[in-house]
Amino acid sequence: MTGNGDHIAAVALNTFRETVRDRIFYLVGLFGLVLIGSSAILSPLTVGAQGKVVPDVGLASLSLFGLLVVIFVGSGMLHKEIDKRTITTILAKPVSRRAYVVGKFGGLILTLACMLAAMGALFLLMTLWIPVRLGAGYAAAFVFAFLELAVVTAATVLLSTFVSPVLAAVLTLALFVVGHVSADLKAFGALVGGPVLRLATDVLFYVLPNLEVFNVRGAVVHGDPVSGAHLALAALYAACYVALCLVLAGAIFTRRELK
Amino acid sequence: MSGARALWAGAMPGAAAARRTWPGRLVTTLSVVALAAAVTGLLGRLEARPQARADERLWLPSGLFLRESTVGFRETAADALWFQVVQYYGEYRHGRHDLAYFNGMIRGVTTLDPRFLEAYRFGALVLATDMRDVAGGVDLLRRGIQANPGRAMLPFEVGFLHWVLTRDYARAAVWFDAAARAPDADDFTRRFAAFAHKRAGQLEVSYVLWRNLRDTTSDPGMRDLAERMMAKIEPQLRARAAAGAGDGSGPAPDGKGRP
Repeated sequence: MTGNGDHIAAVALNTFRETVRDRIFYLVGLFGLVLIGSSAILSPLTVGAQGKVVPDVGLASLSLFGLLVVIFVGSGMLHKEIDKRTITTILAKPVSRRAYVVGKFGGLILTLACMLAAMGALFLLMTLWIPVRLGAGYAAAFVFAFLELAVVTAATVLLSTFVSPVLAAVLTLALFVVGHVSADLKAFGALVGGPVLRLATDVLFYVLPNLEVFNVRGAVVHGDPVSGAHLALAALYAACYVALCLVLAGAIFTRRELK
Repeated sequence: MSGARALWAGAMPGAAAARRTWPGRLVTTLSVVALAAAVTGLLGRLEARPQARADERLWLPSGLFLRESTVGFRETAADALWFQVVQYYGEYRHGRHDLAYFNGMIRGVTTLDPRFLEAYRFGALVLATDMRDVAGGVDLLRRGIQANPGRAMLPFEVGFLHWVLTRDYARAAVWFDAAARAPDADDFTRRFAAFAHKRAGQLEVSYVLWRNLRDTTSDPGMRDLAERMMAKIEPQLRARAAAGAGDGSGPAPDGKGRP
C-alpha cells in the first residue's frame, strides 16, 4: 500500500470509529423496529399483499435510513473537524488534503456498508415469518442501495467542502429528490420546452446523479430478475461519479483556507 | 452524571435543584398527564369528525402526480395508499360512506405501482360487487393485464366476474382460457378453464383443456380428475358428432382463442 493509501485507510478507520462513537448504529435497531412493526402491525392491513408490502417497506426503510446517515453525518463531517481544529493536527502530519477527503468518504462508506449488512441480516430474519419469495434479486437490491448511497455520499462530501453543514444537508436532500426525477425532467424538457429549458434539463440530467438507475426495489419485490449487465453498468457509473466528486472535492478542499 | 443529565443541568441553571424538590416533580408529573390527556382527547374529537377524512381524500392528487412526487419510493407510496384503501373500505363496511372516492384511490395505487396485482383484484371486486360497476371492475383488470402480461391472476379474475356476476359463461370461459395459458398458471386455473368451457357448452375446447391438464400436471389427483372429466365429455362429443352438430360458437378447439 502506498503512503497515501495508508493515510486514507487511517482517516477512514478513524471516521468509522467516530461514527460508532456517535451511536449511528442505533439506527439499525430502529430499522429492526420498523421491520417488526411493518410485519406485525401492518400485516393485517395488507389484505393478501403481505409478501409484497412488507419487503417493500423494509427495502425503502433501508434506503431512507442510509440517506439519513449520509445527510446528518456526511454534511457536517469536514466542518466538525475544522470547527474543533482537530483537522490541523491531522494535516500537520504528512497527510494530503485530498487523502484526507477520500479517507473521510471511505470511513462513511465503511459505516454505511456495515449498517446495510446489519440491516440485511435483520431483513433475512424477518423473512423467516413473512412469506417472501427470496431470490438473488434481494442481494442485488442491497448492492444497488449501497451504490446509490455511495454516490450520494460522494456528492455530500463534495458539497461539504465549500458550503455550511446545514446547506450541505439541504442540498443533499434536494440532490436525492432531483436525482430520482432527472430522467423525467429531461423527457419533460424535450417534450414541451424551448431550447433553453431543454438545455437546462439536459444539463441537470448529465450533471446530477441519476439515482433511478439504482432503484430496483419494485422489480425485486415483484420477483423480476435484475440483469448482471445492469448491475455492472450501474456499478461502473457509480464508481465514475464517486471518483469525479472526490477529485473535485479534493481540488476544492486543497484550495480552502482553514482558519 | 450521564451526558444527557449534564447537558440538561448545564443548559438550565437551577434545574437540578428544582428537580430535587417534590412539589416540582409533582407539578411536572401533573402537567405531563394533563397535557397528554388533552392531546389524546382533542385528537379523538378531531378524528371523529366525518368531514376530516372525506376532505383529505377529495384532494388526493392524480396517480401520475403521485408518481413524480414520490421520488424513488413509488412502490412504498403505493403501499401507504393501499393501507388507506383498505381502511376506507372498512369504513364503508361500517356504513360511514358510499365508496365515492374508492375508484380514484385504487387508480392511485395502481398508477404508483402498476405491478400491484392484489390492488387490481381487490379493486375490481369492490367495483363490481359493492359499487355494482362490473364494467369498471373489468376495465381496472384490463389495465392490470396490460401492465402485467403473463400473469394468470388478472385474466382469471375477469373470467370470475363474468362467471359469477354477468353469468356470461362463454366470455368467462375465454378469459379463464387466457389465464390458463399464462406462464404462471397453476393446475387450478387450467382446471377451471376446462370446467368453464364445458359449462358454456364448448365441449371440444373443454376436452382439449382437460387433456392438456392431464398431460402437464404433476399432481396425480389432478391427473385422475382430468381423465374422469375427459371420460365424461367423450360420450357427449360422440353424440354431437353423430348428430352432425359441432361446437362452433367458442374459440378454436386448440384453445388458442383470445379474449
